[in-house]
Amino acid sequence: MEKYEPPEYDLFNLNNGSTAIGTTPAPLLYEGQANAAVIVPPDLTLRVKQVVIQNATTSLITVQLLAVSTVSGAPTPVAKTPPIPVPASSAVTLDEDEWSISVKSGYSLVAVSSAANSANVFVKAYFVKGTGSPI
Amino acid sequence: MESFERVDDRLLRNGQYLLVSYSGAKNPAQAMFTGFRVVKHNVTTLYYNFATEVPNFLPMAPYGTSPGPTNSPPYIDNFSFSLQGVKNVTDMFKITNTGDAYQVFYGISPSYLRVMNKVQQQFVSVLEQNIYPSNSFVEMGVDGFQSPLNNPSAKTEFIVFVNLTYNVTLMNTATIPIMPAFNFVVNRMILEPLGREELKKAILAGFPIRSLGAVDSSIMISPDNYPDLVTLSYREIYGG
Repeated sequence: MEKYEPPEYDLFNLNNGSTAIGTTPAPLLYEGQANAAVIVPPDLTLRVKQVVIQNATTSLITVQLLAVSTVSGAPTPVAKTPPIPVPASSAVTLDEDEWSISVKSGYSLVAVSSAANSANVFVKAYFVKGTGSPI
Repeated sequence: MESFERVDDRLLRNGQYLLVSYSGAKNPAQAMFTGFRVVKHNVTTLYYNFATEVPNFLPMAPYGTSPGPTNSPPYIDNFSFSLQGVKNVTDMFKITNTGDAYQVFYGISPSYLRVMNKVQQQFVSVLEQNIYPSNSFVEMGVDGFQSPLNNPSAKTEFIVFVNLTYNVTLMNTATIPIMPAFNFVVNRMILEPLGREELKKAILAGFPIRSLGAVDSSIMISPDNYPDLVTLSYREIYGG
């Protein structure tokens, strides 16, 4: 099947807001809408086009993105990325071509780091039609 | 890249017929028909961004939420297309020139915006019966996945006649605020009404017929705006 290329106008930004990501999974929030986790709507699947992870500490950290059914407590993820290593005081950028995560409807995207208060995560995401399984 | 190939075949050109039926779904024998020939046409495109064309328009609130001070509602009914940049145009699909009509298609941005057409408060073919769309009816209408901004789908077609303006219902199906944009393909036509015999022959020959109005109601095109307009009943065409 032909790969869906999201038009520029369909991309939207998610990030961790004002608090750096720590060892408790924290929701990635819609930019411009304070404290709003994006729950994927019915009949759509959220896909990540690009993610930038910035390490705010002076040690190596690893960061994971997870698809979860609720953003409170410690929910069991239905999909997760491998731990992404981020060198001290630097940033990594991952594009969809090399890596991605899909979040199906009713679920949200959260991030967790190996160290407290350590990572800033910026995601460019888009919706595609359909309710596929989490990848 | 912009492309209109999906609607190119549907654009009415000089000499072609535009046939219209008024609803008769509940009782087909009550259907009425009228028709035109296109005598002149030209096609233009118009990018319509709500942020610049609609005064004080705020992004539509996420699906399932209420509008706040920074958002429009997630569901907007009876939206008429005004042009802020053009003086005094409060409704760009309100035609007043005798004999004119527009054939319109549109691409939708962002993809998860869902749109339903209405002509003077009446639903047209994209809706069945007169179900009032709500959050429960998200499958109604056309979204930007079906009709992308730069490659409009034939599904979005509507025909605007003099004094029968169109408006739309918009619905944000996503959980993020959105700013809608449309890319219109507008085929402006000058029409000449068909005479009785030609209209009957054209319908019996199977040329495509557009419907106007809801399944169970009709909005008539006025002969005041199309002199010599002929309207035939089902019986006059098919007999019986």
